[in-house]
Amino acid sequence: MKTRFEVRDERFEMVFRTSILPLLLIWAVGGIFVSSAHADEPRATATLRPAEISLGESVQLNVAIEGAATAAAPIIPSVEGLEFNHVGQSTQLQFINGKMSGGITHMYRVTSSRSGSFTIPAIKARVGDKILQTNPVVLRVEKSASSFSVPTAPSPARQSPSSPTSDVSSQAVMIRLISPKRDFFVGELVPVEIKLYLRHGIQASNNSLPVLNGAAFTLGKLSNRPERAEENINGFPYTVFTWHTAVAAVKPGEHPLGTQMQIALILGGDPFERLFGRVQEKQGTLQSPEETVKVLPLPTEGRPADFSGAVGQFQISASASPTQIAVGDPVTLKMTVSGTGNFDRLSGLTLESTDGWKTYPPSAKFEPTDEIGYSGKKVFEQALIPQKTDIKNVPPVKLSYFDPEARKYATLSSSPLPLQVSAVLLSSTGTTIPLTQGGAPRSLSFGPRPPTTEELVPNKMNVGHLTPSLHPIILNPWFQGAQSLPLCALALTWAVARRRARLAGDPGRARAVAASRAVRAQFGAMDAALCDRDTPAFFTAARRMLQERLGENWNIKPETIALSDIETRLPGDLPLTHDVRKVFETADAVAYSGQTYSSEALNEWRKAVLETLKGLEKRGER
Amino acid sequence: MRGERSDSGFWILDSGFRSWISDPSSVFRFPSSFFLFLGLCLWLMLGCRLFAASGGEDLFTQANRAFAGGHYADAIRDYETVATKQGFSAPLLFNLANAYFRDGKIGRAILNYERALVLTPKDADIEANLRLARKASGLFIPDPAWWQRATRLLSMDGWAWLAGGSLALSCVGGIMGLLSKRRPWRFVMVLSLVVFSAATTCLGVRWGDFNRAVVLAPETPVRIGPFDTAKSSSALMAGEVVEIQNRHENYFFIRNPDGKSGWVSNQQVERVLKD
Repeated sequence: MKTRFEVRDERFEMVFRTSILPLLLIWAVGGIFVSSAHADEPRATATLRPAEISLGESVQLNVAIEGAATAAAPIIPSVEGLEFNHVGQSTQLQFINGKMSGGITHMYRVTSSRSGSFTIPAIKARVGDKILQTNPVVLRVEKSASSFSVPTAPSPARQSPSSPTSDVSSQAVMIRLISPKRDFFVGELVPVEIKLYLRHGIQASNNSLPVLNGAAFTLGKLSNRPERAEENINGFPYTVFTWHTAVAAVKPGEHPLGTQMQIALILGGDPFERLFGRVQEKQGTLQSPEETVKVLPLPTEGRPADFSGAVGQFQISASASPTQIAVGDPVTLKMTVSGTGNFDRLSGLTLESTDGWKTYPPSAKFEPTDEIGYSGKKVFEQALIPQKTDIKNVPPVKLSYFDPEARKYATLSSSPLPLQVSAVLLSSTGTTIPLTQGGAPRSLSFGPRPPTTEELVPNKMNVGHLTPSLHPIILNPWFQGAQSLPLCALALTWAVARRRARLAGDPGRARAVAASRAVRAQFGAMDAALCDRDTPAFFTAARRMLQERLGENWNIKPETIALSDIETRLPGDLPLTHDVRKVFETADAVAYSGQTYSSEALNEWRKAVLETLKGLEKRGER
Repeated sequence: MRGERSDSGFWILDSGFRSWISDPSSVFRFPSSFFLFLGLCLWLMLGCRLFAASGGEDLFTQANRAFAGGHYADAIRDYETVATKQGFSAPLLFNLANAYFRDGKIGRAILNYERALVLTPKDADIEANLRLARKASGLFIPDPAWWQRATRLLSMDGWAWLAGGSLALSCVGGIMGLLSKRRPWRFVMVLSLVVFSAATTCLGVRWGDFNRAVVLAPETPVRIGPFDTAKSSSALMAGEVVEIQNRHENYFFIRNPDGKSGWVSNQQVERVLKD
């Protein structure tokens, strides 16, 4: 989770309010007076605020030119180890009795790449044709304890858990781990706070969540989002981000407890710079001061035999269902442990007596009531099966834990839960199973002892229908593919029905389709006749093919078209007319004279007929 | 197809046998050739199945004999051999589960009862023995809701065939409705679509069965990561039914009905719907 911490910077609004708007007003309203106004001799000054910073911080350099309404941004002479960035300008002018006062201020952000003392020499500024010089200024950059402005570890005498920020100096970014106690027991879960301090104007983003420094402690779950608050420390306003979590000690002894966090400072946080993307990120590790914590071992004296490592303050409750059962039927025992402490070490509860019971391992579910898992309730569910009829109660459950506040072990016990166990057991087949003396069912067994034939429905004697796989047929690609067949048939039928309907509503198109179909049929007949060298059939089919095409073109019955129609309806000078007439005449001649043609000749005729047909189709399209 | 009653009282198809007798070449013409081919195929299929069943029956009987003699390990071996070589049937899986139960392997017993129920969902004998196995394992499965019980009226194959058949019938209804424009066909189509919707809904509800698995080993650790060295967060009992949600190498990410989830070795759980 990466969070970006932004402390509201109001400089941008200030620049607008105090500089740009007045400047516009002055230019618009008072510009006519400027030319006639009389001003003092202009002069330039340079100021640094503050003059001392820590490494990694930046400082603002103001170059003020008094007595001038306009002046270009001065060029800052280079200083080794320092970097200057012009961040803006402000103008303040006053006219009193025609006399101008105030001037223009150019602002620079200065960052240092090393510690030490730097002298910024006189800065030259041009106002009109005059060259002004500022005074030299000195900047001191101090080393910090870490990559950032982290304070050095304060002496134990100065540390006080009750006032965690008392040692906070005027550093820009700090992190603290605040523990309410200094003495821990091994395994004890202690809620702590981790606070990240960001001075106003500083922007940073975290590259990691806080972690503990040493290996003697484990860090619990951090709260999902840090709390945000404002604090004023040593006169400086800070934004404080607080994570709630808990730590647990894993080994006894005296161990330092501290935290650290990967963080990136965002330099150049001015809105102008952000607008133009002139920001830099400086990565580093932020370390908190470490305080020594005394970790005490859990006492061996008075430790209960069933103690499993739970440390905290707990209460228990238990319930069972059903409460009226037969021997062999299961009872679900629900045990709830609530309170505060290390629930991870709470592995289970102990039954006071398991005589006459078969028990199974419990399942557990933790339901925290806070974000860090320090307080909440853990619910255990355990299956118990009574094996005797003389059982009257579900056995009480016990919990032994160590109370770190009282510094001693404690044992809690639930009250017995009444239970009625009937004397007969219904088997799976619906028959009752007789009981032996003492109440135990004769044939009922658990665990390694196999059940007897009274309980199991006997084996089947016929193997039945064998199937090669248990995988459902729905996964079979053939089955899946077969489902598409009726859908395809339906889609095809729908398409045919739609085509029919369309043709029924458009007689011209229906006629064209019918003619094309008839032409194709006659074409087939012509080719068949060619194969059989049947000259009369060939020419009859050829003529009929042309009749079909002409009938569609002229919208008359094809069979009524005769040679006379060709001569009257087709232009006489066209080659096409000649070709059609020739086919008709030859067909008539062959029909009446019995003339025959060779295969080669019929093939030539076939080509000619096809050309003629194409010509007619083209003519018809026109 | 036309037919007439013969003297002996049997109905014979005059487009088939009679024409074959009078004209042997008609055997190769439709529809006579079609029916002949169909009959041959059916006869071959039936013959193969009877042959296969007789082989399976022998080993199955042998396994039953071993079971009756209390040699459960031998019975398990023989039942498994029949399943591997010839396939699965509800009685075979039922007997195999019984043998595992008697052998004290509750996880595998429950797995095979579950598999038998896949083939015959409402079999009272299987359900009774499964209930007994769960009780012996300390497992409590809540009664399913009515709609869950409804989806178990048929096996998954049964629902699939019903869905496929109703889809085909609705298409036939649609085709005939388009061609004849008669209302009864539309009614057939709508009714078939309703059946198709119901069958596919039941299939959809039971789709999760593909990922059902049974825990085989007692005290099976549920780890927080798919590694042997990963910390164990809880344990599952043999015979618990879980849902496999993911796989990473030799580990399944599982979730049980209580919401407990984690990684379990694939040696310790097995899918109900075995390949």
